[in-house]
Amino acid sequence: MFTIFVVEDDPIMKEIIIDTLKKWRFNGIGVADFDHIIQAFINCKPHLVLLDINLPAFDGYYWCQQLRAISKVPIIFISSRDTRMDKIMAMNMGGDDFIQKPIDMDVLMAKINALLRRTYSYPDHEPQVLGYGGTVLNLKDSRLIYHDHQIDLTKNEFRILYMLMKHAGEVLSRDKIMRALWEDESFVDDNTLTVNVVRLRKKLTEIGLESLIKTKKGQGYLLE
Amino acid sequence: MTEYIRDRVFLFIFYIAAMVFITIFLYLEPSVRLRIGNLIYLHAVVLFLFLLYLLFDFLRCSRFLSGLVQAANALSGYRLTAMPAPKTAGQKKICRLLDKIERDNRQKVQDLQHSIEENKDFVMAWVHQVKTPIAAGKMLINHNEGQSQEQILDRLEDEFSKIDYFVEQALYYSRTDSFSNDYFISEYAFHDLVNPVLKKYAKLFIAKKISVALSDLDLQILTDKKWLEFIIDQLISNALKYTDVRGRVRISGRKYSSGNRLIIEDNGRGISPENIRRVFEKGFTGAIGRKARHSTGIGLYLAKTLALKLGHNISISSEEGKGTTVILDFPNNIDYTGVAREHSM
Repeated sequence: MFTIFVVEDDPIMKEIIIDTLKKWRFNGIGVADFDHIIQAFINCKPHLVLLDINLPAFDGYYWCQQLRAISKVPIIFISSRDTRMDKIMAMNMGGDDFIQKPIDMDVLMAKINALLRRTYSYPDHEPQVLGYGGTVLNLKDSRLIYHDHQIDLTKNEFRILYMLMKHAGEVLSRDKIMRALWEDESFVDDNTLTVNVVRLRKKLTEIGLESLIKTKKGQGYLLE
Repeated sequence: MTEYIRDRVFLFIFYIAAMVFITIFLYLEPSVRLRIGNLIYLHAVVLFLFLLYLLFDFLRCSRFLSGLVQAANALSGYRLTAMPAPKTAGQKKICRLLDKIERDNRQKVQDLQHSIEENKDFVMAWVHQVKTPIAAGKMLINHNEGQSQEQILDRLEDEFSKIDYFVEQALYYSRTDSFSNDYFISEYAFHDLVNPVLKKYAKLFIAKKISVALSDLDLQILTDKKWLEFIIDQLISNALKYTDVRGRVRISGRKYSSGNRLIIEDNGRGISPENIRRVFEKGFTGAIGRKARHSTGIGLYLAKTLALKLGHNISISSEEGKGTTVILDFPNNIDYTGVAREHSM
């Protein structure tokens, strides 16, 4: 279990980050007293530090220098400033990576994981498969395995099935699925989504899973 | 008086030297043989004339000078009108110079006042504009009977993204002046700049069922990512605003011998011919803007201004009722060392 030290003064942001860390099975510890960050750091002995640049009293650069004087712990800067000077400063002050507000939590977690992997050289323990009702979806090569059948999925088909599996049992509206696809830079419209779902169902039918994806009229799709 | 004498010191020296010379000349010249009495007489007359000249000259000068002193003591707005009329060529030249300086200053003051006025107008319009989604958000929170949590969140998200859009505009509006020291030119493909904007507006595109067609966006250009992304953001959000449900937006890159182009087309309502000239003006609001009553009309103006600063250009064409095409031009061989200097204000 890795401990992550979160130096962020905005309470809402802090809470969201620490909650997300918990979901990813990290132990997130926030800072309450911004005058004694170093003491809190020593007590917490974290494996990684998330450090906001805009803090009360001293800014993140200052604290980064203070931390670097006593520790080699990996540091990721969080910043709402988007000038290039900030990025340069952050790296030169001894930061290892940099993420901008508004923070995309998935990106942040990926950065944390990558940094921890590099620093503590541990193998990645993230699950690389999703399972549902006897099917296994391999996240690395986007294949669906069912009994002894395998099908290759296109990027969009994989994305749709992945969404449905993650929210198994819930109805997902077409708009929600589309937004997830857009997030992945696949800018589909209504018709394209329909076509994708039809093709995905066809592939599923081939290996005997014709009724895996259910349609809820006027609401969306779900896995039951 | 002493000032006057000090100013005329060379005249006195000249007078004395001339008189001494004449006296000695007349006294020593054997053919003339002047009597001492006559010599004194001559001196007296010349001195009298000289003093007479000095008196008149002094009066004339002192009138001008005291006029200047009065003008200096006058109220600041009326100094130039209180100045005495110039008499000599030198005075005329000085007056003309003062006149010029005064006119330049007045122009500067006017320009400043104008820009302050403009800023004030913008801030007022902006505040009104941004209040609308805030009010709508408050309404949603207070009057939410009969709506599921998810619906409310969904609509709050819409209002927040409106606020976000306005705040972003204000931020870039205030940043335009510091453009020259806040940019970083690098090479990007069109899709590096277009995709983030499309993601940002995903919800709107999907809700309005507007399809997006992309082509040839892997062309590379030199630009600053932050500024150009803002420009593209303005253009795409406009396309979204003016395109009806089930419309389409097409974004494509083109390569020319002289440079690259990014073309953003929609099949929305278009712009009328009498308005198309004015869309890049500061504060121009189209029919929609006037309908909403709170529109700053700053988006396209900012896009154009910033594009020019980056050495790009924007042009627009439209057929009313058929759609609008915006073309972003990226000419080759822009000397980027000159871009900031040329446009730094």
